[in-house]
Amino acid sequence: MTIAFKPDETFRGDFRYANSPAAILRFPFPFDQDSYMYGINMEPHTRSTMGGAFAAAFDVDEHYVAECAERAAVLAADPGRCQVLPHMVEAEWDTLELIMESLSADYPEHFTLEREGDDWIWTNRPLSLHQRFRFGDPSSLPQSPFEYIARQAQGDFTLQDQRDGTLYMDGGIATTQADWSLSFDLGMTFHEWHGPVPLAHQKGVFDRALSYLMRVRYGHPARRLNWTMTVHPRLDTSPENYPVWGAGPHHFDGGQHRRDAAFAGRIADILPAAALERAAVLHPRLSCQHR
Amino acid sequence: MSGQDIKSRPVYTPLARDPAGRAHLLIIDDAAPPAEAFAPGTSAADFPETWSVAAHSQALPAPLAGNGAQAFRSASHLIAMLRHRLARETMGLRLYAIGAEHFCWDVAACASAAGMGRDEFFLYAAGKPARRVVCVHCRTLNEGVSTNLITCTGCHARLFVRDHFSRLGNAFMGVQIDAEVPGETIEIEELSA
Repeated sequence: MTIAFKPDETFRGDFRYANSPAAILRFPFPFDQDSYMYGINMEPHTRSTMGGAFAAAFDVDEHYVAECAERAAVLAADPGRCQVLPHMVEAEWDTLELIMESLSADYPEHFTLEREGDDWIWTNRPLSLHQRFRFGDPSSLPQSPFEYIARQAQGDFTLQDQRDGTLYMDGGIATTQADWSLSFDLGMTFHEWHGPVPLAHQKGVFDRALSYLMRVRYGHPARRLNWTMTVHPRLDTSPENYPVWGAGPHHFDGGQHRRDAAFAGRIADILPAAALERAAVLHPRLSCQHR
Repeated sequence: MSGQDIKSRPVYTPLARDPAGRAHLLIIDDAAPPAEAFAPGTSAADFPETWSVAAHSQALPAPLAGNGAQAFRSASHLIAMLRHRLARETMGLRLYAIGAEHFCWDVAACASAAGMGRDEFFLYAAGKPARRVVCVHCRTLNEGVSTNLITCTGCHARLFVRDHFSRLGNAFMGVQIDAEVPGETIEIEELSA
C-alpha cells in the first residue's frame, strides 16, 4: 500500500496539519469512555492483517515526512533531545537493525535494505535517502546509529537497560514528548523518571508496568496506546520550550501542568498530537538478542 | 509545596557499615559529621578510613594510603582525588558520604564512573537544604537553593523547584511557574531537608 504523504504539514507556527478521512479511519483509539485515568493497557503487539495502525512493527502514516522534518528542526535547535550513554552503543545498532529490517519488510515500496555481510545499503524513498554504510562502524553514518534511524521514524524512543531489577533509561530521542526532559531524565530508573506523574504511583501503575516490560521477550514486542491532547497540533511540548508553548492555547495531558478543566466537546473534535507510542525497544544488558 | 511525593527525590538513611564490604571509606565535606548521620550504635570511629575537608591550602593528604584519616584542601580537591583513588580500587570497597546533597551526589558520580553499583555506596545529605537546581529552559545551574521558588540566574525565569532529582545531572529541576499565566505565582516556602 502506497501512502500519500503530506510533506507540507507543520507542527508550529501556522500549524498546517489535518487528518485525511483514511487517517481518521485507521486511528487506533476506541475512545469508548467519557473519562480516562492512567492505566497499564499494555498488550502483545499482535499484527493486524486488516491494515491500519497495527499492521506494521513500526507504523508509518501520512504524516511521516512532515514529522521527520519537524524532528530534524527540533534537533537542529537542541541536539540534547537525542542522547545515549556510552555503554548502550550496541543497543544503538540493534535499534537501527530492528527499524531498518521492519520498515523494509512492512513497507517495501518505501524502504529497502540491502545487506552483504556488514556492508549495508539503506534506501528511504519518502525522505530521498540512499546510504551506504558499514554495520558497526559509526563513522560510516552521518549521525550516531540510533539518531540516524530515529530521525527516520515517527514518535519518540527510549533505550532501556535492564539491571538491578529495574529499567534504566540510558538513551533516547524526545522531540514529541508530553512535558518530560530527556536531558534531565537520562540515566534514571523506571520509577524515577515517572516520578512527577501524578496519581499513577499510588495506583501501582508503574510497579505493574515495570513487571510487564521486564518480561517482554525478544521477538515478541508489546505495545501501549498513549495519548495526549493539544489544542494545536504541536509536537514539541517539551519542558525545555514550555515558556514558548505554555503561553499558547492550553495543553492537556497527564503531566505536572495539567489544568483541571473538564474536557469540553467531543474527543473526536480534538486533534491527537502524539498518536501512538511505538513499541518500546528493550535492550536487556545480558540480552538474548544476538547476531 | 513540600511533600510533592516524587519518587526520584532521594531518601537518605542514617549510615551503618555494610557487612558485605571488604573496606570502608567514609567521606565528609566538613571537618566533623553530625551525629544524626549515623545509625544507632554507629559513629565515625567505625569506619577505618575517613576523608574530610580541612579548608586549608597547605593540606597534604595521601589518597592512596589506605586506612587512617586524610584531610583535603577543599571539597573539589577531595572529589578529584576520589576519582584518582577509585580508578585504582578493586572490588569490595564501600563508600559512605555525608555532607551537602550535591556533594554526596558528586561522590556517587565518582563511584558510578568507577563502575560501582548503587548498592556499593551510601549517602546521607546533612545540613540545611541547599539544592542545586537546573533551569530546564536555559540549563543554568542555580546553587544553594533553599526555597521552592527562585529566579533563574541565567534566563531570569521565575522557577518552581520540582522535587524531581537527576542523579546523573546532580540537580533538581526548575520549571517556569508562570509560563501559562504571566505573573502567576504561589506562596514561597522554605524547602524541607
